[in-house]
Amino acid sequence: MAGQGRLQPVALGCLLLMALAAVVVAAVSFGVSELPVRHALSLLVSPDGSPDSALVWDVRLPRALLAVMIGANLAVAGVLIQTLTRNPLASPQTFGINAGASLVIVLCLIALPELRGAGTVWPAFVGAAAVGLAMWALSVSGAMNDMKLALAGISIQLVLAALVQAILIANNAAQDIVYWLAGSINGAQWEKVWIILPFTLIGSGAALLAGRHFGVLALDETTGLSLGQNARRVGGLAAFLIVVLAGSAVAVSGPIGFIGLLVPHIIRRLAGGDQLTLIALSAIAGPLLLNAADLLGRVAAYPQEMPVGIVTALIGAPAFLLILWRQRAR
Amino acid sequence: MSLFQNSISRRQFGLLLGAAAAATVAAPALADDAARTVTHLLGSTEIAGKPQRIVALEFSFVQSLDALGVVPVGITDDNQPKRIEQLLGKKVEYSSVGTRLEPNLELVSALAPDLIIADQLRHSAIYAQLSAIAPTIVLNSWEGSYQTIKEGVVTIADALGEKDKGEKAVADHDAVIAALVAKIPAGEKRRFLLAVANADSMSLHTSASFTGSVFKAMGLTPAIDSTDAVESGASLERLIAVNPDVFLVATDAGGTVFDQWKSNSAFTNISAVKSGNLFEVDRNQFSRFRGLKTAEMIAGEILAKVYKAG
Repeated sequence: MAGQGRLQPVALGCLLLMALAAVVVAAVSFGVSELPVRHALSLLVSPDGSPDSALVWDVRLPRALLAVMIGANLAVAGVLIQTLTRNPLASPQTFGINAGASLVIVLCLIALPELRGAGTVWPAFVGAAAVGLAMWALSVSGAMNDMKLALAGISIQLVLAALVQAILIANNAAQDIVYWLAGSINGAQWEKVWIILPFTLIGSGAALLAGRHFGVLALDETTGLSLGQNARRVGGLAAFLIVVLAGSAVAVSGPIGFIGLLVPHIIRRLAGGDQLTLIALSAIAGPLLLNAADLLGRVAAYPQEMPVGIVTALIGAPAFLLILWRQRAR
Repeated sequence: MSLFQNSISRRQFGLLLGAAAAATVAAPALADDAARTVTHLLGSTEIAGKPQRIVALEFSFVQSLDALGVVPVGITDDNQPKRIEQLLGKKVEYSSVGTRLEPNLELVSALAPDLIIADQLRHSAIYAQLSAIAPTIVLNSWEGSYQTIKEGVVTIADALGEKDKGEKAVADHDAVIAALVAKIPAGEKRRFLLAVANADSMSLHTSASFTGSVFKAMGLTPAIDSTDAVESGASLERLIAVNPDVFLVATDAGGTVFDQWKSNSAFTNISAVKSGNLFEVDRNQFSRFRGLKTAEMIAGEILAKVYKAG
């Protein structure tokens, strides 16, 4: 792959960026309310303080930007977790990290109903970290192969989802929270953008800066040590970033699946396996995929809105099966 | 997401199971001259004499029983006795039998009831078990319209052996509503919407919901005309697109998405907000409870808030 020249990832990055810009503009100009697309576009360029302008700037734009950040978080977390565990089936969803964050958030929401907004980020980190730690321990113990580890992750996810269900049934609160649990950005507000923004910047930024070092994790540990790198320290950083990226995403949108699993695979096929390239391009492709899925969810159920988590699952599940099938064929 | 799918498949499964159970349970009961046959959504049930110990598995049944002067011995109160107090406007003596979603069958059985009133959506799956405990009738409460609830009062009265009392309660109620409706100015064309504010989005109640059908009975126009009672997960943009002229937001104590949306300047795009016809209402009264008294309360609140009358 590297032999085909270094321009390829840059060109691909430019293409992805253009596609992302186009999807964001489409997301901002299209909506269920009776606002002509052309008018919406002109308001995007020159806001005039009218309620229509507020619709574009305070309802649609934060939603599109929120999708950008959640998409980047999940995709980068996906790259890191696949590298860290050397498991192509790893993702924040399949390893139960999203479910861990959801469980602790739901517990906190039931116990403290006044907990809102930024307050849900910390419980999300606690849940994501607990599950992340367990999975990492399983993965470094070496007792399980890729497929077994993925199955273990999915089992953990199922247990946690069942616990969430039990809590909701016991509290008769299922109606209120079921939409959030599907993974949705319908409630997007600038407030949520500000909540996730620092974590996206720090998480993705750190992942990019340390990107070259993560390559060592893809090798086995003894090779990494002989190359003079402290694999354990790099691994710890990767685990920390996964928790921050996935946890903050779940806190603002609920658990959205498949982005973290699919994006690294797609990018790896298109641009090869270099860690830095993988992280950088995934940070663009994740937002592209999530924004496109959200737009699709708004069109498909028009004039209602399908939660974006349902759309990513509908697209992602067949793609996931394809990956499994190819893995087997190899 | 798995939760989302589970709840749907479970519901469908429950309906199938319930239908199958109804076919087997209703058949053998034939004898006893004093017994009445009460037909309901899952078939017909033989009831003898006048039941005294009644278990109600939905809030609306408790209110219907109250309209007939009966206090149930057991209620699925979701372990929140305060709600029952608010529902009836008074304190009553009863035993809790768990949550509406998952009634505790052992507690129901321990009360030795002679009549159980269950909800079609939530309890069809356990109809056979309930029927083994006591004669059970199944009505539509959870997705019930105003008309369904009214008919339910008569069915429940019939099950109690006092059908005329039920018909009288409904007639009295109709008179109360008619007196309230008479105060609404003629030619009201504005579109009314009730939305329940959740943590992250709103659930919009359509013409098929209980409140929506009360609006219609009052001669008012629900903003969303649909056969599905509730449209959940509505974003602010969807709300702006629905654009109600009179907007009632049902909130809980905890704080909801309404707190954030009302400070968003796009919110003023909504006709009701522009014209000062945005009102906050109690979620229990407007969304959780369904009954004759609740309908009167809704009509009264609308007159007081929207028409400054009543």
